[in-house]
Amino acid sequence: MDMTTPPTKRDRDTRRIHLADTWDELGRVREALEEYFAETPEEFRAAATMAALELAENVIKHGEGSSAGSVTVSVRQGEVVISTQNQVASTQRAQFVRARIQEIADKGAREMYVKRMLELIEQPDAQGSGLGLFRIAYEGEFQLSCEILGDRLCISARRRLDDALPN
Amino acid sequence: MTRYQTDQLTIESHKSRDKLVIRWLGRSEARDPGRALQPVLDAVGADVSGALSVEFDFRMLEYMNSSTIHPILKLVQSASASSSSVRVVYDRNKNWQRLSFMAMGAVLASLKNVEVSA
Repeated sequence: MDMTTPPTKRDRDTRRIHLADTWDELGRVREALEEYFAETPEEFRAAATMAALELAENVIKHGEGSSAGSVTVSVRQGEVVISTQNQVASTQRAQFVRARIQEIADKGAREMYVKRMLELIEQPDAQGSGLGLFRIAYEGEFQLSCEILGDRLCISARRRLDDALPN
Repeated sequence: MTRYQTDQLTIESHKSRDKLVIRWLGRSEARDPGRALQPVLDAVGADVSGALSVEFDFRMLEYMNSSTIHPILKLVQSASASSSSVRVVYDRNKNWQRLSFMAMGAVLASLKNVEVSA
């Protein structure tokens, strides 16, 4: 914890969920997020749970190594951070994710979300929707960022919690 | 009424006169919904062909992952090609539904016989 910024009463302990390489893990992620955000408004809880599930799906689909990876959630200074990390088979995948997050920042989440849907309509046999990150940014209103640390891909989704809570 | 079930998702098909109502209930979060839902979507597609009007009702859908969006778009496209009018109904009080289906509405706007509304 940053020692110069004392925790606020709304700060929460960090919770980390290690993910095995099986789709059933998503049930654990959903339960953990719903419990973690139990005291927040339903709209915020649904958005945070959706963001964590979409990120966890990507970890399970694309993670490499002995375990798929992990999902971490925390609240610090009124900001919710949902992050994932996983080992990637190639830097190509990590670079692709980084480029996609940069596109969202440059062009806007809704524009990218709709553009990708239009591509899917034109390519009915396309494999993978590729909509998850756009959805987190547009529907969930989370700010996405990405770090590549060696063979590990770390994605963070951030959103202020303050606005969602009653005074 | 015909009921199709897969994992935590139920799809009900109600036919009355020339109108077909396809109701989605529960959660759609398969790893590859395009594949997992294919038998159901084929069956629903068969129900849709021959119906003058089709309504897809998503108001009781609790959650869907982003991979479900592509099969939905394909299903609505298919219905649009075989029916004279298609309506997609969502719950505006569910924030995720409002945002998801408004975006889908923008994408489906080129199909003149498709209406997406709450």
